[in-house]
Amino acid sequence: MASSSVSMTSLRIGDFVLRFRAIIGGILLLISAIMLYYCTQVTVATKFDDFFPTYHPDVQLYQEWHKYGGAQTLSVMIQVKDGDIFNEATLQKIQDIQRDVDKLPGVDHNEVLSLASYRVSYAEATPGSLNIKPFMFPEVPKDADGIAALKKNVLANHASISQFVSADLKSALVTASFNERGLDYKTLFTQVQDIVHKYQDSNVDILLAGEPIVRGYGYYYEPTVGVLFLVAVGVMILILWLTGGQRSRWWAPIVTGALSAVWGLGFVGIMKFDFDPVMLVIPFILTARDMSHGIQWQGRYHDELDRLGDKYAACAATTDFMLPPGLLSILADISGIVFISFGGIPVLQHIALAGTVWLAGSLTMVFIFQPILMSYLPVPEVKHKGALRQPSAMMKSISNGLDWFVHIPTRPGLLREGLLVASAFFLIYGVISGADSRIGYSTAGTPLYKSNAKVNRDILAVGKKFPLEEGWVILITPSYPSEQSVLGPEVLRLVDDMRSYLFEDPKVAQVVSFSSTVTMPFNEMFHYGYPKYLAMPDSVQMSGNLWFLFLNGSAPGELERYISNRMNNDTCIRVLLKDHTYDTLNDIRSRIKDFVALRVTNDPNLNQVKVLYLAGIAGLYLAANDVLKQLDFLNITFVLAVVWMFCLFSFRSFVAAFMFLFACVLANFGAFIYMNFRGIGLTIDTIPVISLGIGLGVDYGIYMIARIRDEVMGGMEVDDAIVLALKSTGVAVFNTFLVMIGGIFPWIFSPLLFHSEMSTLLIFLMGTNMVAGCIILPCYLSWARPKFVFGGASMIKERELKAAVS
Amino acid sequence: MHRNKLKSWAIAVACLLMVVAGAAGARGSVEGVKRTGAPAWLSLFGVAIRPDNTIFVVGSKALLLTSSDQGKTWLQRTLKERDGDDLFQDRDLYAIRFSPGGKVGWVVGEDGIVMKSADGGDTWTRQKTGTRKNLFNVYPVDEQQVVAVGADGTILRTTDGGENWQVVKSPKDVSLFGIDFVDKNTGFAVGEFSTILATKDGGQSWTLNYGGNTGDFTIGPYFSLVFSDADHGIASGLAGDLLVTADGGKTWQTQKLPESAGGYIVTENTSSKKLWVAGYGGRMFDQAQGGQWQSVDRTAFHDITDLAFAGNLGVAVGLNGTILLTNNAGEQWQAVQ
Repeated sequence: MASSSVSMTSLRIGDFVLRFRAIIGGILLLISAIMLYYCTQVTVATKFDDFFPTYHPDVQLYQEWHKYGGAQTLSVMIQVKDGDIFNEATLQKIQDIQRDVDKLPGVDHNEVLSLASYRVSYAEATPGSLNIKPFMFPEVPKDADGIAALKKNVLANHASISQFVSADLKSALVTASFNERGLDYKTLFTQVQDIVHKYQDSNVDILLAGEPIVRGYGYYYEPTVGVLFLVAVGVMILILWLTGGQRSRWWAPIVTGALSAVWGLGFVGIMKFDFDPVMLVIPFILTARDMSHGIQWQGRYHDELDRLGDKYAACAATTDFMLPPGLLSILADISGIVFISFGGIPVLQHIALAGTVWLAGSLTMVFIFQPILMSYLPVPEVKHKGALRQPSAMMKSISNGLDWFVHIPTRPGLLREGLLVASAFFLIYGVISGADSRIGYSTAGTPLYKSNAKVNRDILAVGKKFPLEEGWVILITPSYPSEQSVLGPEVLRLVDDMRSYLFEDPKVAQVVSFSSTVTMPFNEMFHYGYPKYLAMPDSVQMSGNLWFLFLNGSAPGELERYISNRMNNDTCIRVLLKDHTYDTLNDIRSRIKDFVALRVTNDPNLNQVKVLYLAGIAGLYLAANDVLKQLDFLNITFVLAVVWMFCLFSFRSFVAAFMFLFACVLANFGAFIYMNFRGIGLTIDTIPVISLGIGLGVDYGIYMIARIRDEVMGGMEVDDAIVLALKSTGVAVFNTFLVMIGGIFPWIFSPLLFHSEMSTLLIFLMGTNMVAGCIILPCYLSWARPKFVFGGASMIKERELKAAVS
Repeated sequence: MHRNKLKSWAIAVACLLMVVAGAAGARGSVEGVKRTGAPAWLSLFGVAIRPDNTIFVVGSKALLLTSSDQGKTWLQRTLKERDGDDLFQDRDLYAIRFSPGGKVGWVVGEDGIVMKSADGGDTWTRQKTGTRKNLFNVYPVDEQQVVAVGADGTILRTTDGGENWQVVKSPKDVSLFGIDFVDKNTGFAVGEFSTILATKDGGQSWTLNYGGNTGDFTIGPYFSLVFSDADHGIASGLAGDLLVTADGGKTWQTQKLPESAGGYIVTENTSSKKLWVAGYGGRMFDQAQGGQWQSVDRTAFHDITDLAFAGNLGVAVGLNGTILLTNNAGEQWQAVQ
């Protein structure tokens, strides 16, 4: 153990805590008991609405026009391997699945659609009449002629049924919308899986896609995630034992870690926030962080115990020494998570609030409750087993290697200067990558799970045949019979023009509107099915007649998919997209914007028409992307500002503040290099983890520099202080690092890509922070010799003051 | 002075060369978007093949597609039927026909649109017709005399190459979908309520030749007709109905296609003298040796709206960007993707 030249601290909080240990301890245990009760109230659930920024116009538009359907759409694809779907067995399966989907919890019965739905119909012209017939309702055709007739109808009307029967006739889709509030993803997922198992056979695959399935898979993987959780806890305890097991109270950090977890989870219960299993990695990081604080506290306690020989004095002294840097460190952690609440996304606000309480719980438990606990427990025994054993040759060479390592910062030469130059380049590259960071999803599937996971394979397969994402453009117009009502020919024409304009973009799979899906085909059918009437009706009256025909010929509620009321003063245009990637969503929005500017704004025939976009799930994703871009910038700026301010306050030096700022950027912008390299975008799921990672590693450098500064102030030679700091604080930092890594590492093997990616990212971040704190900053100090550490009037004054106190 | 003169000549020659080059360039480089087929979200309504085998297709939203390599590549253009951006050119064009020499072209469409090209289809100008009724078909008898028919009994006629258009009174207020002339004076038009109108004076006046009972809504329309010669003519209609004359329209007999499908176009391949009907759901029919109608294997499932032949080259167009091509007079058809 390196000997320290610093022996005293001016804080006396430790004495206070121990003097009132019974009261304080009692209060803390009482609060913990209350929190424990609320822990049992935590619900494991996912609230879809919580994932999007409530104040964003697109989200508000979606909520305002929610009557046009939910964004939570389940897609069940029935795919045959040999032949096509036109055989009795497969058609019967389609009908049975349609019926079973209609029984799912939370399903909107008006929005269960398929080839077998009574809402999915076609119009047929015969001399003197116009007939609207469902394709396959109420019965599935039983004989060859009936099946052949159905196939002919599907082929002849494929434009109107392309959403439910694929162009190659090998796949059919059953879609369903759900009422978002209170949707039980776990039950839904289980029941949908039952449908899959019930109808899948050697020739028929049942594939699933849609947001309910994506979220539902989180529950599917719950047992595996549970095992990983236990493994991660086990690894943490093992590392804890390995690093502190020579003392009999090595398990104390587990107690404080568990109690702060009780506080954090209890707060989640009090606030009635939902706990999403996919987000489990975040509380785990918080717990790991808590335990690492506990280890540092224990390390110092043992040092003080050795030095002072008295349990109470050691507890008090450790509290006095550890509370200020601990407070600084936890405030940095809190700053890393609290600013993500600024985006107005409820789920991030919940994480920020609960995370702050959790970390505050850590501060209380580790730095207040722990000394109380240790003061009641007997003095930890030291087990000296093996301590006198002769070191082996391997241990000697490791020791030599470490000795060489700790002298890197104090050894002028190519290595030290090279490291500084390399880190400068890394810093610049990191900043460039940060500016270039991707937002939103970059693949068609979900980044929550691995690309070869069943859910992503299914989404990809379904996406190849049917559009999966939907954006809504809402038109608000005067009421019928105004020429500018939604039934006015010029308005209908505008909608059809928008359809054509959007179709120029290959990312658009289909555009469904009253104009192109109802009015034009009905106009054609009304005129003997003559194709040259597949056009706008020539008057608003004619259009009104066609509307009336459709209303009377279609299923109840069918019209409301297009026009929400009988005044005919609003309509929904559904833009079906091939994927939900950032590029696709942005392209579509800017395309609609261009269209409105070119086609609508200056047309006097449309001066009373208001075009609102983009609602639907595409609008929600877009809203999240918009906010995340700003939030990322805002969050990083605030975290860096907090670090800068804390360091300025702590070291009373601008040079120090900027040095830590650059160290923070150097260590943490590596995250963006990693993310860009791995193609990970900033999403609602990834941003809290990245943000937390930035806060978590800052204190490594703070501990190191503080120790060097303290030793220099205590009169130690510069290079000796650096070596000593590396050998003492460096080891503590490394132990902390090990516990963190130990806790995070098992998540790499999670079936959830999100867990795997984020744990790799966090390990990477912890590594860069350790390198920055333990190597680069000491290298810089030794090379640049800044005044705030090595001299200057205030420094000398402070040193004299400390000497006087001693 | 002599030097100045030379300079002036040089400038004049250069200017002349530039003008000639510009004109040649303008003639040869018609602007448009190159594609391998038609956009699937647009409807194609009319097709014409010029004598040099250049294919012209018109469709929804002022679409004009041309191909000069027998359908391998296409140039997509938007005919400027209105002032403003391309996005405003959203009227549908329903038919395209060229005068017998192929030099003068005519396009008719929604909202009374008539467009004329005097340079073989390179440039098109809007004609003033005075009607806003939809015009479904057009027949250029020659470069000067043209007749167009459309909604609600609309008949338009010009005898001066489009300088002036007269609205001709129809004996029946029914929509007319097809028109054909046997010679300069004798012509027929077909439409709703099985109406067939006839003219003996080049379209100046029309009389009811067949059908036209507007009180009976169970009577279907005829969409198209063609005359092989002065006596033999055929009209195609709803639900597989055909109407045939062998006496120059004095009498008409009904026939049926093998399937009950609407025949939106009937045409003759003048080289092979074979009649073709195409229409609902991509169905096509031709006549066997004995004159019986037979179904042709389907290569498309969207409605076919028009069909044209020039020797062995045949082109059928339809809804959802459907283009079918044949290079062997209809032995095999291939869909253009």
